[in-house]
Amino acid sequence: MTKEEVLAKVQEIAAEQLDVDKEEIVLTANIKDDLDADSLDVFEIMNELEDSFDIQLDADEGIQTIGDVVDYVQKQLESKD
Amino acid sequence: MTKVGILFSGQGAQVPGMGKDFYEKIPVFAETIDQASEICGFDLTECFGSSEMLKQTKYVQPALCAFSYGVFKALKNAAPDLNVVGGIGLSLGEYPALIASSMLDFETGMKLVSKRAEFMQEDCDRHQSSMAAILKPDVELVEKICAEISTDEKPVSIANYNSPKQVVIGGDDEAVKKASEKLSEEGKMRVVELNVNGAFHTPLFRTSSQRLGEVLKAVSFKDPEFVIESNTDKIPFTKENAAEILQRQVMSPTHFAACVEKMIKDCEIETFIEIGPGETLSKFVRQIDRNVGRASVETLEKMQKFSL
Repeated sequence: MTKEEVLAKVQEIAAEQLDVDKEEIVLTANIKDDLDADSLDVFEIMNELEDSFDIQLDADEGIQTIGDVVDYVQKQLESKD
Repeated sequence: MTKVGILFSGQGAQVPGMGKDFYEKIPVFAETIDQASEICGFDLTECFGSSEMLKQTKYVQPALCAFSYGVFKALKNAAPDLNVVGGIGLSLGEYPALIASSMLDFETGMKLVSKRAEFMQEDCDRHQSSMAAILKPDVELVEKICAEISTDEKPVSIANYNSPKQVVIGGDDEAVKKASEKLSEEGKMRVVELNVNGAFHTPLFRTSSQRLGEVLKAVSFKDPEFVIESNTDKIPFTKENAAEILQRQVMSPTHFAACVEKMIKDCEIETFIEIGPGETLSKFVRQIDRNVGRASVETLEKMQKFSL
Protein backbone atom coordinates (compact mmCIF):
# COMPACT_ATOMS: atom_id res chain seq x y z
CA MET A 1 0.00 0.00 0.00
CA THR A 2 1.38 3.40 -0.92
CA LYS A 3 1.95 6.23 1.49
CA GLU A 4 -0.82 8.20 -0.23
CA GLU A 5 -3.32 5.40 0.29
CA VAL A 6 -2.43 5.12 3.98
CA LEU A 7 -2.65 8.89 4.40
CA ALA A 8 -6.08 8.96 2.78
CA LYS A 9 -7.38 6.42 5.31
CA VAL A 10 -5.72 8.23 8.22
CA GLN A 11 -7.30 11.48 7.03
CA GLU A 12 -10.71 9.90 6.84
CA ILE A 13 -10.49 8.38 10.33
CA ALA A 14 -8.85 11.36 12.04
CA ALA A 15 -11.28 13.84 10.45
CA GLU A 16 -14.16 11.77 11.75
CA GLN A 17 -12.74 11.38 15.25
CA LEU A 18 -11.54 14.96 15.69
CA ASP A 19 -14.38 16.67 13.84
CA VAL A 20 -12.05 18.67 11.57
CA ASP A 21 -11.81 19.01 7.78
CA LYS A 22 -9.71 16.45 5.95
CA GLU A 23 -7.64 19.30 4.50
CA GLU A 24 -6.33 20.07 7.98
CA ILE A 25 -4.98 16.54 8.37
CA VAL A 26 -1.60 17.05 6.71
CA LEU A 27 1.58 15.06 7.31
CA THR A 28 3.19 17.83 9.35
CA ALA A 29 0.15 18.46 11.58
CA ASN A 30 0.86 17.81 15.25
CA ILE A 31 -2.05 15.71 16.51
CA LYS A 32 -2.36 17.22 19.96
CA ASP A 33 -1.25 20.80 19.30
CA ASP A 34 -2.58 21.47 15.79
CA LEU A 35 -5.61 19.20 15.75
CA ASP A 36 -6.66 19.61 19.41
CA ALA A 37 -6.79 15.88 20.06
CA ASP A 38 -6.83 14.66 23.64
CA SER A 39 -5.07 11.47 24.65
CA LEU A 40 -8.21 9.37 24.29
CA ASP A 41 -8.71 10.67 20.74
CA VAL A 42 -5.30 9.27 19.81
CA PHE A 43 -6.30 5.87 21.19
CA GLU A 44 -9.60 5.96 19.32
CA ILE A 45 -7.83 6.80 16.05
CA MET A 46 -5.36 3.95 16.60
CA ASN A 47 -8.24 1.63 17.37
CA GLU A 48 -10.02 2.51 14.11
CA LEU A 49 -6.78 2.12 12.13
CA GLU A 50 -6.20 -1.30 13.65
CA ASP A 51 -9.61 -2.43 12.49
CA SER A 52 -9.30 -0.86 9.03
CA PHE A 53 -5.86 -2.30 8.24
CA ASP A 54 -6.07 -5.43 10.39
CA ILE A 55 -2.81 -4.61 12.18
CA GLN A 56 -1.66 -4.12 15.76
CA LEU A 57 -0.79 -0.61 16.94
CA ASP A 58 0.41 0.63 20.30
CA ALA A 59 -0.73 4.16 20.99
CA ASP A 60 2.91 4.87 21.61
CA GLU A 61 4.02 8.21 23.03
CA GLY A 62 6.49 8.50 20.16
CA ILE A 63 3.69 9.57 17.84
CA GLN A 64 3.42 13.31 17.43
CA THR A 65 2.35 14.12 13.91
CA ILE A 66 0.06 12.68 11.25
CA GLY A 67 3.25 11.77 9.36
CA ASP A 68 4.34 9.65 12.35
CA VAL A 69 1.01 7.82 12.24
CA VAL A 70 1.31 7.13 8.51
CA ASP A 71 4.89 5.85 8.89
CA TYR A 72 3.89 3.65 11.81
CA VAL A 73 0.94 2.14 9.96
CA GLN A 74 3.14 1.44 6.92
CA LYS A 75 5.77 -0.20 9.08
CA GLN A 76 3.18 -2.48 10.71
CA LEU A 77 1.67 -3.30 7.31
CA GLU A 78 5.10 -4.34 6.00
CA SER A 79 5.87 -6.51 9.00
CA LYS A 80 2.50 -8.22 8.49
CA ASP A 81 3.31 -9.29 4.90
CA MET B 1 -36.58 29.44 17.14
CA THR B 2 -33.88 26.79 17.42
CA LYS B 3 -34.34 24.65 20.50
CA VAL B 4 -31.08 24.59 22.41
CA GLY B 5 -29.70 22.18 24.98
CA ILE B 6 -26.74 23.23 27.13
CA LEU B 7 -23.97 20.75 28.04
CA PHE B 8 -22.04 21.31 31.27
CA SER B 9 -18.64 19.61 31.51
CA GLY B 10 -17.61 17.24 34.24
CA GLN B 11 -14.37 16.87 36.15
CA GLY B 12 -11.46 16.16 33.84
CA ALA B 13 -12.31 19.03 31.50
CA GLN B 14 -10.23 21.52 33.48
CA VAL B 15 -7.17 23.01 31.83
CA PRO B 16 -4.72 25.55 33.28
CA GLY B 17 -5.50 29.03 31.97
CA MET B 18 -9.22 28.35 31.66
CA GLY B 19 -11.48 31.36 32.00
CA LYS B 20 -8.71 33.99 31.81
CA ASP B 21 -10.14 35.53 28.63
CA PHE B 22 -13.67 35.71 30.04
CA TYR B 23 -12.48 37.07 33.38
CA GLU B 24 -10.61 39.93 31.75
CA LYS B 25 -13.27 40.94 29.24
CA ILE B 26 -16.70 39.93 30.53
CA PRO B 27 -17.84 41.64 33.76
CA VAL B 28 -20.72 39.23 34.45
CA PHE B 29 -18.27 36.31 34.35
CA ALA B 30 -15.76 38.09 36.61
CA GLU B 31 -18.51 38.91 39.13
CA THR B 32 -19.64 35.28 39.23
CA ILE B 33 -16.10 34.06 39.84
CA ASP B 34 -15.40 36.66 42.53
CA GLN B 35 -18.61 35.76 44.33
CA ALA B 36 -17.71 32.09 44.12
CA SER B 37 -14.26 32.78 45.57
CA GLU B 38 -15.88 34.47 48.53
CA ILE B 39 -18.34 31.63 49.08
CA CYS B 40 -15.67 28.92 48.76
CA GLY B 41 -12.95 30.67 50.72
CA PHE B 42 -10.20 30.42 48.12
CA ASP B 43 -9.22 32.43 45.06
CA LEU B 44 -10.73 30.75 42.01
CA THR B 45 -8.73 32.87 39.57
CA GLU B 46 -5.57 31.46 41.15
CA CYS B 47 -7.02 27.96 40.83
CA PHE B 48 -7.85 28.47 37.11
CA GLY B 49 -4.17 29.17 36.47
CA SER B 50 -2.64 26.55 38.74
CA SER B 51 -2.04 23.06 37.36
CA GLU B 52 -1.28 21.92 40.93
CA MET B 53 -4.67 23.05 42.28
CA LEU B 54 -6.48 21.74 39.23
CA LYS B 55 -5.20 18.25 40.02
CA GLN B 56 -7.09 18.21 43.32
CA THR B 57 -10.75 17.25 43.47
CA LYS B 58 -11.48 19.65 46.34
CA TYR B 59 -10.50 22.66 44.21
CA VAL B 60 -11.48 21.46 40.73
CA GLN B 61 -15.13 20.87 41.44
CA PRO B 62 -15.96 24.36 42.75
CA ALA B 63 -13.75 25.86 40.04
CA LEU B 64 -15.53 24.07 37.20
CA CYS B 65 -18.96 24.76 38.66
CA ALA B 66 -18.31 28.50 38.89
CA PHE B 67 -16.64 28.56 35.47
CA SER B 68 -19.57 26.84 33.77
CA TYR B 69 -22.19 29.00 35.41
CA GLY B 70 -20.15 32.13 34.62
CA VAL B 71 -19.89 31.14 30.96
CA PHE B 72 -23.60 30.34 30.90
CA LYS B 73 -24.40 33.84 32.16
CA ALA B 74 -22.01 35.36 29.64
CA LEU B 75 -23.73 33.37 26.88
CA LYS B 76 -27.18 34.54 27.98
CA ASN B 77 -25.92 38.13 27.90
CA ALA B 78 -24.38 37.72 24.47
CA ALA B 79 -27.43 35.94 23.07
CA PRO B 80 -30.47 37.01 25.12
CA ASP B 81 -32.95 35.39 22.72
CA LEU B 82 -31.37 31.96 22.99
CA ASN B 83 -34.17 29.41 23.36
CA VAL B 84 -32.74 27.12 26.02
CA VAL B 85 -35.14 24.24 26.59
CA GLY B 86 -32.88 21.71 28.27
CA GLY B 87 -29.55 20.95 29.85
CA ILE B 88 -27.34 18.00 30.70
CA GLY B 89 -24.37 18.15 33.02
CA LEU B 90 -21.92 15.31 33.21
CA SER B 91 -21.59 14.33 36.87
CA LEU B 92 -20.28 17.51 38.58
CA GLY B 93 -21.72 19.44 35.63
CA GLU B 94 -25.20 18.74 36.98
CA TYR B 95 -24.59 21.37 39.66
CA PRO B 96 -24.02 24.36 37.33
CA ALA B 97 -26.87 22.95 35.23
CA LEU B 98 -29.24 23.03 38.21
CA ILE B 99 -28.03 26.53 39.11
CA ALA B 100 -28.50 27.72 35.50
CA SER B 101 -32.02 26.32 35.48
CA SER B 102 -32.76 28.19 38.77
CA MET B 103 -33.47 24.99 40.66
CA LEU B 104 -30.60 25.84 42.99
CA ASP B 105 -29.52 29.33 43.96
CA PHE B 106 -25.90 30.11 43.20
CA GLU B 107 -24.66 30.47 46.77
CA THR B 108 -26.29 27.27 47.99
CA GLY B 109 -25.06 25.45 44.90
CA MET B 110 -21.46 26.56 45.38
CA LYS B 111 -21.52 25.58 49.05
CA LEU B 112 -22.96 22.21 48.13
CA VAL B 113 -20.27 21.61 45.50
CA SER B 114 -17.55 22.59 47.98
CA LYS B 115 -18.84 20.04 50.45
CA ARG B 116 -19.21 17.40 47.75
CA ALA B 117 -15.64 18.06 46.62
CA GLU B 118 -14.31 17.82 50.16
CA PHE B 119 -16.10 14.53 50.83
CA MET B 120 -15.02 13.02 47.53
CA GLN B 121 -11.42 14.10 48.06
CA GLU B 122 -11.43 12.21 51.37
CA ASP B 123 -12.82 9.07 49.73
CA CYS B 124 -10.16 9.40 47.01
CA ASP B 125 -7.44 9.58 49.64
CA ARG B 126 -8.82 6.60 51.54
CA HIS B 127 -8.81 3.95 48.82
CA GLN B 128 -6.38 3.19 45.99
CA SER B 129 -8.69 3.44 43.04
CA SER B 130 -8.46 4.00 39.31
CA MET B 131 -10.45 4.18 36.10
CA ALA B 132 -10.02 2.97 32.54
CA ALA B 133 -11.82 3.80 29.30
CA ILE B 134 -13.04 0.90 27.17
CA LEU B 135 -13.25 1.77 23.47
CA LYS B 136 -15.90 0.33 21.16
CA PRO B 137 -17.22 -1.65 24.10
CA ASP B 138 -19.39 -4.71 24.08
CA VAL B 139 -21.29 -3.30 27.04
CA GLU B 140 -22.87 -6.56 28.15
CA LEU B 141 -19.51 -8.29 28.17
CA VAL B 142 -17.93 -5.41 30.10
CA GLU B 143 -20.69 -5.65 32.69
CA LYS B 144 -20.29 -9.41 32.91
CA ILE B 145 -16.51 -9.34 33.33
CA CYS B 146 -16.70 -6.59 35.96
CA ALA B 147 -19.34 -8.52 37.88
CA GLU B 148 -17.12 -11.64 37.85
CA ILE B 149 -14.14 -9.78 39.29
CA SER B 150 -15.88 -7.35 41.62
CA THR B 151 -16.05 -8.03 45.38
CA ASP B 152 -17.36 -5.91 48.25
CA GLU B 153 -13.81 -5.16 49.34
CA LYS B 154 -12.43 -4.60 45.86
CA PRO B 155 -15.21 -3.45 43.57
CA VAL B 156 -15.08 -2.69 39.87
CA SER B 157 -18.00 -1.60 37.70
CA ILE B 158 -18.99 0.62 34.81
CA ALA B 159 -18.90 4.20 36.08
CA ASN B 160 -19.69 6.17 32.91
CA TYR B 161 -21.83 5.17 29.95
CA ASN B 162 -20.49 8.01 27.79
CA SER B 163 -21.26 7.14 24.18
CA PRO B 164 -21.71 4.10 21.95
CA LYS B 165 -17.95 4.19 21.45
CA GLN B 166 -16.85 4.57 25.04
CA VAL B 167 -17.61 3.42 28.55
CA VAL B 168 -15.41 3.92 31.60
CA ILE B 169 -14.89 1.35 34.32
CA GLY B 170 -13.75 2.27 37.80
CA GLY B 171 -13.05 0.79 41.18
CA ASP B 172 -10.30 -0.65 43.34
CA ASP B 173 -6.88 -0.41 41.66
CA GLU B 174 -6.27 -4.15 41.59
CA ALA B 175 -9.78 -5.02 40.43
CA VAL B 176 -9.60 -2.46 37.60
CA LYS B 177 -6.28 -3.97 36.48
CA LYS B 178 -7.71 -7.47 36.47
CA ALA B 179 -10.80 -6.38 34.57
CA SER B 180 -8.69 -4.41 32.08
CA GLU B 181 -6.53 -7.45 31.32
CA LYS B 182 -9.53 -9.67 30.83
CA LEU B 183 -11.30 -7.12 28.64
CA SER B 184 -8.33 -6.71 26.34
CA GLU B 185 -7.37 -10.39 26.22
CA GLU B 186 -10.72 -12.16 26.17
CA GLY B 187 -12.91 -9.31 25.00
CA LYS B 188 -10.41 -7.95 22.44
CA MET B 189 -11.33 -4.43 23.47
CA ARG B 190 -8.90 -1.55 23.70
CA VAL B 191 -8.46 -0.39 27.28
CA VAL B 192 -6.96 2.99 28.14
CA GLU B 193 -5.92 3.78 31.70
CA LEU B 194 -7.14 7.19 32.76
CA ASN B 195 -5.23 9.67 34.84
CA VAL B 196 -7.85 10.52 37.46
CA ASN B 197 -8.15 11.31 41.16
CA GLY B 198 -10.37 8.39 42.01
CA ALA B 199 -13.06 6.03 40.80
CA PHE B 200 -16.06 8.34 40.98
CA HIS B 201 -19.51 6.85 40.45
CA THR B 202 -18.61 3.54 42.05
CA PRO B 203 -19.46 2.08 45.49
CA LEU B 204 -16.11 3.40 46.76
CA PHE B 205 -17.89 6.73 47.18
CA ARG B 206 -20.54 5.42 49.55
CA THR B 207 -19.24 7.55 52.42
CA SER B 208 -19.36 10.70 50.27
CA SER B 209 -22.88 9.82 49.33
CA GLN B 210 -23.99 9.45 52.94
CA ARG B 211 -22.31 12.67 54.04
CA LEU B 212 -23.69 14.59 51.07
CA GLY B 213 -27.14 13.26 51.92
CA GLU B 214 -26.91 14.89 55.35
CA VAL B 215 -26.02 18.25 53.81
CA LEU B 216 -28.73 17.95 51.14
CA LYS B 217 -31.42 17.58 53.83
CA ALA B 218 -31.16 21.31 54.47
CA VAL B 219 -31.31 22.33 50.80
CA SER B 220 -34.54 23.31 49.07
CA PHE B 221 -34.90 23.18 45.30
CA LYS B 222 -37.17 25.19 43.02
CA ASP B 223 -39.02 24.33 39.82
CA PRO B 224 -36.71 24.30 36.80
CA GLU B 225 -36.75 27.00 34.12
CA PHE B 226 -35.65 24.37 31.64
CA VAL B 227 -35.41 20.59 31.84
CA ILE B 228 -32.27 19.09 33.39
CA GLU B 229 -31.98 15.37 32.68
CA SER B 230 -30.41 13.36 35.50
CA ASN B 231 -27.35 11.25 34.61
CA THR B 232 -28.22 8.82 37.34
CA ASP B 233 -31.89 8.05 36.72
CA LYS B 234 -32.35 9.27 33.12
CA ILE B 235 -35.37 11.33 34.17
CA PRO B 236 -35.72 15.11 34.61
CA PHE B 237 -34.77 16.60 37.97
CA THR B 238 -37.68 17.99 39.95
CA LYS B 239 -37.68 19.96 43.18
CA GLU B 240 -38.96 16.81 44.86
CA ASN B 241 -36.43 14.27 43.54
CA ALA B 242 -33.26 16.40 43.23
CA ALA B 243 -31.80 15.92 46.73
CA GLU B 244 -32.26 12.18 46.71
CA ILE B 245 -30.80 11.77 43.19
CA LEU B 246 -27.80 13.98 43.91
CA GLN B 247 -27.04 11.92 47.00
CA ARG B 248 -26.92 8.71 44.97
CA GLN B 249 -25.20 10.37 41.97
CA VAL B 250 -21.67 10.26 43.45
CA MET B 251 -21.73 6.47 43.76
CA SER B 252 -23.93 5.52 40.78
CA PRO B 253 -22.97 5.26 37.11
CA THR B 254 -23.59 8.20 34.77
CA HIS B 255 -25.69 7.65 31.64
CA PHE B 256 -24.73 10.58 29.43
CA ALA B 257 -25.53 8.81 26.16
CA ALA B 258 -29.03 7.85 27.27
CA CYS B 259 -29.68 11.39 28.52
CA VAL B 260 -28.70 12.90 25.17
CA GLU B 261 -30.95 10.51 23.26
CA LYS B 262 -33.85 11.11 25.58
CA MET B 263 -33.47 14.87 25.49
CA ILE B 264 -33.41 14.96 21.68
CA LYS B 265 -36.62 12.98 21.68
CA ASP B 266 -38.51 14.55 24.59
CA CYS B 267 -37.36 18.18 24.28
CA GLU B 268 -36.78 18.20 20.51
CA ILE B 269 -33.31 19.69 20.95
CA GLU B 270 -31.90 20.88 17.64
CA THR B 271 -28.51 22.10 18.84
CA PHE B 272 -26.38 21.33 21.86
CA ILE B 273 -24.05 24.06 23.08
CA GLU B 274 -21.14 22.87 25.21
CA ILE B 275 -19.94 25.26 27.86
CA GLY B 276 -16.57 23.57 28.31
CA PRO B 277 -13.70 23.78 29.01
CA GLY B 278 -12.84 21.39 26.19
CA GLU B 279 -15.16 19.70 23.71
CA THR B 280 -15.42 16.22 25.17
CA LEU B 281 -19.20 16.25 25.50
CA SER B 282 -19.70 17.49 21.92
CA LYS B 283 -17.59 14.59 20.72
CA PHE B 284 -19.79 12.18 22.67
CA VAL B 285 -22.90 13.83 21.20
CA ARG B 286 -21.58 13.30 17.70
CA GLN B 287 -20.97 9.64 18.49
CA ILE B 288 -24.50 9.38 19.86
CA ASP B 289 -26.45 11.27 17.17
CA ARG B 290 -24.85 12.70 14.06
CA ASN B 291 -27.88 14.74 13.04
CA VAL B 292 -28.18 17.05 16.01
CA GLY B 293 -26.35 20.40 15.88
CA ARG B 294 -23.28 21.06 18.01
CA ALA B 295 -21.51 24.23 19.10
CA SER B 296 -18.95 25.05 21.71
CA VAL B 297 -18.39 28.31 23.61
CA GLU B 298 -15.50 27.33 25.88
CA THR B 299 -13.41 30.39 25.00
CA LEU B 300 -14.37 34.04 24.53
CA GLU B 301 -13.26 33.88 20.90
CA LYS B 302 -15.62 30.99 20.21
CA MET B 303 -18.46 32.69 22.05
CA GLN B 304 -18.02 35.88 20.03
CA LYS B 305 -18.12 33.89 16.80
CA PHE B 306 -21.10 31.89 17.99
CA SER B 307 -24.38 32.13 16.14
CA LEU B 308 -27.14 29.65 15.45
